[in-house]
Amino acid sequence: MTAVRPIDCNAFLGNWAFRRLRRNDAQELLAMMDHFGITQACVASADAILYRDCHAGNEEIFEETRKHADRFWLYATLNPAYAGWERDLASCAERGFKAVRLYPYYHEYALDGADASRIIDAATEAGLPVSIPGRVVDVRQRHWMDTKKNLDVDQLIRVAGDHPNATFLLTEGLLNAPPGDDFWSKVRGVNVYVEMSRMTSVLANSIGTTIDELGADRMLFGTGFPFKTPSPAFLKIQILEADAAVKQQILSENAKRLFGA
Amino acid sequence: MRYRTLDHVKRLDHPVIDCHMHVRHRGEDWRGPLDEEYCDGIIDANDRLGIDVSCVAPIRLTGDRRYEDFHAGNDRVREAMQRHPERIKGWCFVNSGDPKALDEITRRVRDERFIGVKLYNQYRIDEPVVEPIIERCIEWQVPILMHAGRPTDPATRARQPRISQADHFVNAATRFPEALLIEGHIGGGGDWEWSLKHLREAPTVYLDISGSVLDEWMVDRAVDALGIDRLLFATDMTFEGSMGKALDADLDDEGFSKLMGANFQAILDRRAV
Repeated sequence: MTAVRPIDCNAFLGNWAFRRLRRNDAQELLAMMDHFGITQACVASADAILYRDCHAGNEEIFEETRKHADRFWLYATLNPAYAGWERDLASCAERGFKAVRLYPYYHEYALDGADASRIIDAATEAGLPVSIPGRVVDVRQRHWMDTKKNLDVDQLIRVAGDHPNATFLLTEGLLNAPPGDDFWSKVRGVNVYVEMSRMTSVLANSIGTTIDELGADRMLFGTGFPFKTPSPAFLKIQILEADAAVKQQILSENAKRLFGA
Repeated sequence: MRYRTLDHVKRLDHPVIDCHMHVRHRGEDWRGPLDEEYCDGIIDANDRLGIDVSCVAPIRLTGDRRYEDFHAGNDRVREAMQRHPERIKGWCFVNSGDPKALDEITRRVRDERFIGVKLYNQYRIDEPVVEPIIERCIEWQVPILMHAGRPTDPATRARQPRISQADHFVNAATRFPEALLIEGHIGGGGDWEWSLKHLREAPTVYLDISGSVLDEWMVDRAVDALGIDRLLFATDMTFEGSMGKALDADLDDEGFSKLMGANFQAILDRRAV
């Protein structure tokens, strides 16, 4: 599909309580990666989102991927409102996890509250970016026991402003403000990267607008697999009206820089 | 797993048809003129993705829209058809409860060669007020594409109290088995697993795969539930997403061909007016 070997910054392993997933183990993910030429996938535990002790999900994906550690970069799913996250964070950092993953809308804490502030500072101290998905599922199809909330992106931008030394990655992000909108000046002033799988390269062209407003160095490639089917993300880059260097940044270079590879 | 590429799309020996797309009006006026830039953007997107034909309806005709609103919307569709005659076909949008709905359908479908009728959520597909429209479409053997879904969050349900769900399609198809009913956008935001369970009981209802929900396995599950002969490619403005869903479906070449246009062309070929 492309000469550039992509890095998928938005993938998962494991099960989701509210919908059966398939192709959700390491072997199946590797098969998808090999088909599309993906060198590394940044994976989070899908189970961890709903475990009371979400660190158990980190343990699971660490064990599942250790035979292919060169292909998987791991997100450490942590809940700063739960017991012992400090020790869990240290354990993940020691074992080479690449970033902290937060879900404030599942774990019921405020992203602009004290608990979140502490874990953001701790991740920054450990040299880890903080990744937050805009959502896990579309709430219009939510299971009756699932959350009704998505991430408040404006709140994320404010929190990023409060933590200027931290680095944030918004996966499942949808930045669709029009060109020239005040929103973009706010995002430019904070250290937030965005993964592109919810955006588009045609008509509204939110990918193109984001690149124009923030620069190509802020956008990362991701599929959302196995929650989402992978080809849409590849098509968005394939048909994006941008030169090869920009596409290489999005597909690979920005992720290498962000995750210190 | 089987992942296709756009090269597979280009190799198809028939036009690729997006059976569910929209054109917009310019400005804030619901009765405003065609947004030509957006209309041309559809063609640009189609060119980049290998889509040959878009079947379009007016967008945002929500609520209790009356004749003047949907008539103006259908004028925009006609403008789009005239602007890109080889690339755009038109759906005639009406509010089923409007007394002039059948007159508008006659004008657009019979006289101006619109391909069928597009309905939104003013009424459910199985309500009596829709029956004269279904009967007219049966007589002319033209399809009805209906906005549909099973939204499960309270806010979306509150906004669309009369959205057609799959069980409503089962009711309508049972009463009118000759009707060419298309349930819109299985990926439009709603419990698609619930919808597929019901559509197994409606063997004459078609389903389009459009919508912004890109759940892995969704199209394959739809094939399992309905069979490939009842599935239709569509975007509903989610261009790369819908094409990607089709490319990732675990279909053989014949099935892929059916999905990408052969099934819908067979519907269009039944036209009897």
